[in-house]
Amino acid sequence: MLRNKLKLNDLSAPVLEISHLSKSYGHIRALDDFSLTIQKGEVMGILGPNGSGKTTTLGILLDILKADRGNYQWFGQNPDSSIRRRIGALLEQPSFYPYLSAVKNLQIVADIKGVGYHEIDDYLKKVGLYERRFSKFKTFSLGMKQRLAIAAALIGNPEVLILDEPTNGLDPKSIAEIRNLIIEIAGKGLTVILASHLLDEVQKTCSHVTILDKGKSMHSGRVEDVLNSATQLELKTHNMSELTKAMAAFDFVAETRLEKDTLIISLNKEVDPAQVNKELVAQGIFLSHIMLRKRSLESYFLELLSGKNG
Amino acid sequence: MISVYAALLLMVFFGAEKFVNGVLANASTTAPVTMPGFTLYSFPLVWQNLAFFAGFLKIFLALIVLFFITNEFSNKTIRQNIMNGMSRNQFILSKLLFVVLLSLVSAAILFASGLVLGFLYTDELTTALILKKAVFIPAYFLEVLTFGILAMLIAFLVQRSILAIGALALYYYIIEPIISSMLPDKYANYLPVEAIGNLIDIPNSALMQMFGVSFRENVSMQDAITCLIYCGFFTVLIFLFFRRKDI
Repeated sequence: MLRNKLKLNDLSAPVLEISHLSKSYGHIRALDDFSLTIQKGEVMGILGPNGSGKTTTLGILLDILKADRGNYQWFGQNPDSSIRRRIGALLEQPSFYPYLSAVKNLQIVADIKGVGYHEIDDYLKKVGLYERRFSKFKTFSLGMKQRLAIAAALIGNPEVLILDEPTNGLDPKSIAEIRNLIIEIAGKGLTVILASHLLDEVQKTCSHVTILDKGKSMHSGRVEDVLNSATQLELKTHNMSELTKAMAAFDFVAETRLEKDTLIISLNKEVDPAQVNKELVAQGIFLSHIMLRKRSLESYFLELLSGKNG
Repeated sequence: MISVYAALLLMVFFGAEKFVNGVLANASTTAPVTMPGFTLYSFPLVWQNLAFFAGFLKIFLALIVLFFITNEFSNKTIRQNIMNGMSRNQFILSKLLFVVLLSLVSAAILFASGLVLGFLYTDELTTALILKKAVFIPAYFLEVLTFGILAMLIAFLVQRSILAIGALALYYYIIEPIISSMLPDKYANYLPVEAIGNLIDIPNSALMQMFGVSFRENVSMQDAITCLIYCGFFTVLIFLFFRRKDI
C-alpha cells in the first residue's frame, strides 16, 4: 500500500508496464510472455497480423479479459477501475446503446468517468457529429459510429488513449482527420496506444512501435530507428547495365537490386547523393533520377515476419 | 416496455373480478348448486387476492430483467462501460438496483390498486381493516424481487436473450418440478421457485369453502426467510461468477 502511495508521486513511473503477460484460449496461445514498457507522451503503435494478440493485450489492459499469467501496472499502480477513468478506449467495434441518442450515450460515458456534461458538445463538434447528436445510435452509419466512439474516448480528458483500429470503416478524408487528431493529442503530451495493421498510418503518427506475431513481441523501439536502419539509394539512367557495373565498384554498396527500371542500392553507410552523382558523371554516366529513400516500416515489418517464417 | 408491464398489471388487477365472476357464471350453469358471486376487492381480502393474481405476471418482470441484462452483452455495452471505468461489481450492483426498483414499482402499483379497489368495494372502512392483511404487499415485493434476482442470475450466466428465456422456462417448468417431486415435501418447500410461489397462497374464497378446502391466509415466515436467503445466495453467485470471467 505504502509502495503504491509513493509511486503516485513518482512522476518518473512509466505510464504502462506490462510484465510477462500470457493468455491462451484453449490450446491457442494468444499471448506468450509479452512484456512492454510505455513512457508518458509516447505514441506507441502495436503492429501485427490478425491473431497476433493485439486486441487480447488491450483487452487485458482494460480488464475485459483476464490473463493467465503475468501482470501489468498503469501509472505505477495495480489495476483498478478508477484508473481506467484516466484512460479513453476504443476496442474493436464502437459499442453504444442503440435506442439512445448520441448525446445520451456520451452522457452515460461522462457519468461513468465522473465528469460533467459541459464538454460533450465540443467533442461532438470535433468529430463532426454535432448535427446528428439527437439521432438514435442505431441510425448511424459505420463511419459515424466510429467517430462517436472516438468522441467517447476523449471524454474526461484522459491521460492515455487506447485505440484499436480507429480508422476502420472510415473514408480517406476521415482517416486523415483522425490521424491529425491523434497527432494533435500526442502534441499535448498524452500517451497514445494505437493498434493497427495500417503500417502507413502507424509510420505517420507513432513515435514507437511494437511488432507482435503469434503472441510474442518481435520488435519494440522507436519508429525513427526502424526508418533509419536502412536507407536506400534509387538510381535511374538510360544505360542500366553500365550503371549496375559502375555501382558495384563503390564501397558503400551493401546490396543491389533492380526494380523495374530503377536500380535500388542498399547502403551500409551514410552517403551524399551529390557525391555519387559527381562520381558517375566522371565515368560518363548521366543519371535521370537519383533519390535517397528511407526504409519504410512496411518493408521492415514484412521482412521481420517473413524472416521468422523463412 | 416497463410501461407495458405496468399497464398489464393494472388491467389484471381491475379485471380479475370480472374474469373470476365470469368463470363462475359459466360454472353455475352446469353445477348443481348455484354459487354466489363474490367480490374480491373488499378489505382486508383485497391484498391477498390482488397479490395472488399479480403473481402470475412475475414472468413479465423476469422477461424485462432478462432483456435489459442480455442486451448489455449483445450490444457489448457492458464491455465499453467497464473499459470506461466502471468496475465489474459496480455493474452488477447497478443491475441489482434495477431489479429492486422494478419490484418496488410493482409493489407500489399493487398498493395503489388495492387501496382504490378496497375503497370502492368495502362497506365499512376502518384503518385496522385496511391494514389487516397488508402483509401481502411486502410479501409480493419479496416474491417479485426473488424471482427477478433469479432471472438476473440466469441472464448473467447465459448472456444471450433467447437462451436465457429458455433457461428460465426450463428451470421453472421442468427442472425444479422434477427435483421437487423427488424430494420429500418437507425439503421441497425450500427450493427457490417453490418458496417464491408459496409466499402468497391461493386466497380462500366462498367457493373454496364450499368444497371444504382451506388455504393459508397469511404469509409464512419460513417461506419469507427462504426467499430472502435465496436473494442473497443468487446475488453472491453472480458476483463470484463474474470475477474472473472474460467479457
